Amino acid sequence: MTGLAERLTITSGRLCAWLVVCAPVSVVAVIAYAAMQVRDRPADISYVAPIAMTLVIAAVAAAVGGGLGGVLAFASAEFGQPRLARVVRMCVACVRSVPPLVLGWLAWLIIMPTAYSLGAKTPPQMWELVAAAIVVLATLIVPPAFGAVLHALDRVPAETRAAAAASGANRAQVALQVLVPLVERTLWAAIAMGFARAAGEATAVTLVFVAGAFYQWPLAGVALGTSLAGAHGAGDLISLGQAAAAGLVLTSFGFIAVIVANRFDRRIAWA
Amino acid sequence: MGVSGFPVGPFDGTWTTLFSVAIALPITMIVALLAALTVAAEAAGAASSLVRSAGRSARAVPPVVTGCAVAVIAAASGATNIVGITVLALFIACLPSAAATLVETFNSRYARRRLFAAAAAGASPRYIALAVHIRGSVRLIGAVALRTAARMCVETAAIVIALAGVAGAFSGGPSPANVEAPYAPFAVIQFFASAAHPEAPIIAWRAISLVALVLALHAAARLIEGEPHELRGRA
Repeated sequence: MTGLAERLTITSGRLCAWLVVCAPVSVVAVIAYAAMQVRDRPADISYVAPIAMTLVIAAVAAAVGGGLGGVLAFASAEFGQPRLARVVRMCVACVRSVPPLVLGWLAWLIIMPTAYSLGAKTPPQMWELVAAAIVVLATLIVPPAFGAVLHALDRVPAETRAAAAASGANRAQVALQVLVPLVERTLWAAIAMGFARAAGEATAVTLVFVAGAFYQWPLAGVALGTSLAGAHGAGDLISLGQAAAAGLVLTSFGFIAVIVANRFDRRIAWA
Repeated sequence: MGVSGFPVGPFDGTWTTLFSVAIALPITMIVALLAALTVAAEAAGAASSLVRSAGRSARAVPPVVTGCAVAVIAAASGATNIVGITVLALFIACLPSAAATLVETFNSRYARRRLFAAAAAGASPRYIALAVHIRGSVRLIGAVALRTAARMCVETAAIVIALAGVAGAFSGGPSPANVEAPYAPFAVIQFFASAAHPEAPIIAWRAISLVALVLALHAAARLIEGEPHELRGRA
């Protein structure tokens, strides 16, 4: 009886393991199948402009957010006092807790009026919306990049620091000439993962670009994630075939970014 | 089909969200826990390495894409139940990351030490799974569950696309815009209401409540798992 129970437990565990494996695979398979079955291919939406805009926004946001998170983690861990480092970690944890939805709403509510008050023209120009989207996405990327670099610094053996210090290196030299090269690949991996996150983040970007949609801009022509979240404006129905095609492109970006990140650091702690 | 018809109650959709998370979270955690235990016991065969890869590759699949896939599945199967679609979207979106995190937990240096000690003492596989892994890591498992719950509460993109996509397939199907607001998930209502009335004070209250909810869940997770060992040593 005990043997049977153990065998059943192991079998169900194996099934669950395969279920975990199949979850992302099945999503990609369903999306690919749906994209191939597109019959209602819209004539008015070109994917060239959204793809280009997505690439630009995601790349800039990843560079800014990933770089800022990495530098912040490095500075707080190596140069800050323990109490200050703890405060910084708490602040980053608070930012991490803000859902993308709320950040997008804040961007619309705060960044756009701020731009107007600084002399921007009404209605908003495209660059203003793009800048707001980049700010939101960079803010989203800072916490995981911070955590990844902090984790990489924790992986550096204490002997390495001790050996450098014994060789006569001061604190700054240990940090800049020993630790920076050791965590550099993690930082690049964090930027690559940040790119995947920025390219796939639809909610926040949509809320920013909805501001433009109020001025009769074609929302779907702006970014891929936006085209999924609201093909013709928030609240309207979306076309599944059209969304699947955009989703397939987005997923391709994501897989390329993850492969690049794995090339830099397979053990990156990206939450 | 518009968004202006949403009532602006501060707690619209709360029960649907709680109901959906209450269904999706146990299912996700049980599947993830069983998968992680099997992988940690090296009894999963070929799936062992693939589970870890699934955690990484799932990061490449944006929630909007997961929502779109769920919409396709729901449209093909004829499902129109809002809670069911939401649960499926949350389950698929959160399962790989939860499983990968649990695998990392069970494969940590401390868990491996406990495992080897128990195996050397002649413990049975079932004892190792239940007493060594689960009892030894119960706080970390609780933290993973709380973080997964936090993610589920605000996983807007997947749910919005899943529901709106099904509505696109079935005219009159469940769309956030054509269901009663109390019956649509909270984050979805927040999304559409933010788009329709960004300056409304009620949106600020909803945003604050969302942030407070996520912050409370993350804080509870940190409280029960404690400070990470490495950081504790550093500080």
